[in-house]
Amino acid sequence: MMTLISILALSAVGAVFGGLLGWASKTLKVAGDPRVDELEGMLPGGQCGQCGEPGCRQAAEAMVAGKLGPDCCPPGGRSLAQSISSMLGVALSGDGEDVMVVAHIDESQCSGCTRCFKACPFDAIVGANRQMHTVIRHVCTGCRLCEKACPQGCLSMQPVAPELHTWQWPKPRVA
Amino acid sequence: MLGLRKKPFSGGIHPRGHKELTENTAIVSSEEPRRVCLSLQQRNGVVLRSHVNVGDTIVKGQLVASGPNDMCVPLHAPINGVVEAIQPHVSAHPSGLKTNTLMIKGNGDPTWGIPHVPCDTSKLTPEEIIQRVLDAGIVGLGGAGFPSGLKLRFARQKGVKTLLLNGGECEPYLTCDDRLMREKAAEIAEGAALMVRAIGCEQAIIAIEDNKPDSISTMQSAVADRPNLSVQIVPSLYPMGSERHLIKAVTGHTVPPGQLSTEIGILVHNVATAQAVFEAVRYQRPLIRRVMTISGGALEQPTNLIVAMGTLVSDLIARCGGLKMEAARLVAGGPMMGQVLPSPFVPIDKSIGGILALSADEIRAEQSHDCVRCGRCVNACPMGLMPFQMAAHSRVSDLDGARHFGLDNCLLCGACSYVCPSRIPLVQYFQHARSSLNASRTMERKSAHARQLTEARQARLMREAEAKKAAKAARSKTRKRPARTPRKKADSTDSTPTSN
Amino acid sequence: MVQFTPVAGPHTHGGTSTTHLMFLVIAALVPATVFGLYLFGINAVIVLLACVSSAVLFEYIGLKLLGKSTHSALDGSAILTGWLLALSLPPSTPWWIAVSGVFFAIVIGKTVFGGLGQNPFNPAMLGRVMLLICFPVELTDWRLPNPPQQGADGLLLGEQWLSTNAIDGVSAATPLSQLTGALPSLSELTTGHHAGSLGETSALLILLGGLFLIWRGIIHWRIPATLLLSIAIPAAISHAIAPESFGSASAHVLSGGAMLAAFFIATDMVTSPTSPKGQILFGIGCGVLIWLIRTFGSYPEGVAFAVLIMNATTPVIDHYLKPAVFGQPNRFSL
Repeated sequence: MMTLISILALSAVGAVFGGLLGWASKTLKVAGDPRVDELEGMLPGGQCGQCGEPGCRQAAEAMVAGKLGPDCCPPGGRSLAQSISSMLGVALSGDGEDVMVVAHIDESQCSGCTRCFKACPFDAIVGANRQMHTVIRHVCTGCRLCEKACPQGCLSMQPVAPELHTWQWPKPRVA
Repeated sequence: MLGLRKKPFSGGIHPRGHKELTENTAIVSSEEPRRVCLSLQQRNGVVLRSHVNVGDTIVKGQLVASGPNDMCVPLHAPINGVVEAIQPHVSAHPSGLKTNTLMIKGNGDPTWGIPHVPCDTSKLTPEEIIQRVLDAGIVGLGGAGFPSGLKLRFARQKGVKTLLLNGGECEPYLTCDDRLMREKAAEIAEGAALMVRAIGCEQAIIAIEDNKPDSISTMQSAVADRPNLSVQIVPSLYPMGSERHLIKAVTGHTVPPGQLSTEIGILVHNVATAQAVFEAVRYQRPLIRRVMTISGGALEQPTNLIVAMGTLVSDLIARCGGLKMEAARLVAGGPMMGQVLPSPFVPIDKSIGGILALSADEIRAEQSHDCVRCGRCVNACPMGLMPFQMAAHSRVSDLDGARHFGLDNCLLCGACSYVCPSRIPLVQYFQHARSSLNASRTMERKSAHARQLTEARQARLMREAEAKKAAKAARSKTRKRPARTPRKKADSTDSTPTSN
Repeated sequence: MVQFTPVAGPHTHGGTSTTHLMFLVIAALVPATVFGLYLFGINAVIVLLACVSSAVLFEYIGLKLLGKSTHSALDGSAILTGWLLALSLPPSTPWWIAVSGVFFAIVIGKTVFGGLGQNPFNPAMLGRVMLLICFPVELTDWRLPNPPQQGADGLLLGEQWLSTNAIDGVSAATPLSQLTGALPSLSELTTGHHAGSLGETSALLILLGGLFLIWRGIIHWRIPATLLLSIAIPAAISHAIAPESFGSASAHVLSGGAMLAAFFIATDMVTSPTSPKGQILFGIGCGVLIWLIRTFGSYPEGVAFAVLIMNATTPVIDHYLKPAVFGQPNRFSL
């Protein structure tokens, strides 16, 4: 008898709480994830598409959904990946330092077609029609959009060489 | 050990001095170098503009390069000779990166190209003194390398009351300040008096560690007839040469973290800087040479030398008799805070106070082990930080965690690494964490900038589209009006594409 | 070969190594240990040897399994753990019980956390507590000391001194279990001529070892001083109020493991806080807990429990009680 009562009582408690949870999940549902907006604000907003998504908004959605890793945004670099991973609570895979690249125009080959600077979401390329173009190196984020746009093949991505004030101490190698 | 002796600040260590190698021999003037190399880029990345071209004949003391503002001091030719080349050359930076460098081939003539007659310094106004210091290209000779003239001007604006001259020289091996105080006490005193006048402060205190009795007595007699100058003895404890710790030891005041000493009315300069100020103001001589300790257990004849800027380290080692055994590391500066040299062909710059050729026995490099949390680093830290925690967080790239335990306040003095029984390279962890923190800050700034740019671009594109639309609308309007009269059909066909 | 690759300073070192520190601590333990062996005889020697050798063995195996350098099996830390555990055991403990305690201390207490420096709890005390719970009879079987006597023809070694059989000896109460009753005299407590753990009886010799460590800068006075004071102060107050139910301060401080804990166990580098304020708080916590457990708990001795409880607070203490940054007004940095 006691056994039966306990089983019944526990089942009843289970049913009540189960119902409560089910009700709560329906009525208290939040439309959309507020983190998407926040994340979108953190992204560079160049809509460069290097992450594989059509734009930064979609990338933010994919990251919140867990489809993309926090390090999917090359223009944002390591520091963006770190702040995204801490915001989403996702572990950042790998410890490698990323290699920064910037666009470089081989000026002897440039025909002045203006396609690269029209493609640049950051206005990091200056030039005019039929004039030689050049890259403002400290503005370029290395998003590679211009590389695809160039019909001459004279635009390449080059790694940024460290300078005295940007050189980083290596982490000590410890047994 | 039991805290019986009163220490002026908590923490600090007593490293083995090794000063006996050089402290009892007089400063030697080295002969004119055959070649000097002057880097045209400062450590902070600012590029200097050269005023000379390859092939130009230049004279000792001539201005050869200057920067875009007062933050970079001008460069002067340290020797008479010819500009041989302007090309990338390794600089005194642990990275070994090459910077654009002015190479001058000397002709061996030691005379100054421009006559430097002594002037009556008593007639100079404070601003004239400061300008002469700036023009002479003087930077802090203690190692920080900040333009001294700017420091003086800033201190004058802040109404600094006390000038502190740092004769601490707490780094092991280095004795150049000690020798300079013994041999040129009068010039240091005169330089100090000039700086007092430039700042408009009340007094200058020359602080000397108690392990330099000869310096103390010479300096004391040199300042005896100057009422606003005095000598104060401070206990020898590393890092006494740190500005904040010297101020605490001399005045008892502390500078709050994140603030400059001028906030509490004190300016600190090195004694060697005072001597350079004297030469610059009295003779208008630019800073083209400095006294430097060349020492280390691997060196044949450790010496204090007067060295022309831009002399190669290899030449200096050869001047000191060469190496008597294999050197494990060449170090610019003292063994505690000095930087390892990336090559023996590094040229000397203004902020290097010594060159050490250290043998393996002196470095005692050993395999590091796990931290046992013994807390010796916490006790040794003069800044009251927790080095082992900072290193543990830096190791896993948790920079915020490292900052929580004091990364931003760290002096990189190395006291923690010196005492660590597990031989953990604490300082390198901090250097690494600092530089990656810097890099990520730069990156953040850059991506914020990029965001602004895309927004601006989008706004511009929209404006352009609107303008185009408006222009087209206006054009169709102007066309419409004359079209009102005869050809109505043609007009309507024209206007259709505009709607697209 | 000159090294030109970037390596940060300092380009010199004070020369202290972990091994050096560990062996100094062991050296400081030697007087109290030798005295304990002299008092309690052959079985005490067996317990000590079993503990130390098995500690090194377990540490070596553990490091092998972890895939780490086996350097730290011989750096003295394992020896020290085994040694401290031996000193805290009754001298009549069978060797196999001691070895199982060492196994728990080294493998469960240290290796599974990642080896030296990673363990949150004092391994020796973990082993001690495990044994106390698993072998309550053997771990509370105290013997009267039976030191060799000066006889007519050399030293006379008593039968009990030579015995390795636990049943032979005369059981006795430790001073702790009769804190309020018939205590050994103060001089007996100080020199250690009373029943108790292998190496805990002589307060004087432990104090000597501890002062040696403080003098050599291996440990700081903060933890020992605050620990002993915070046992003594509540004991003195309660004893003054009701002497019939509370033990006196001297009895509390000099008996049981208080001295050993103050100088050698609570000061274990790995499991104690590193900041000055944290060390003081840690010492106070240990002391008060020892007194509370001894007075109100069901076990007569509370050192192991108190130290383990405070070990658990160490990470929190280290996180919040940082030393004051130079130049900042001295305050709690919460």
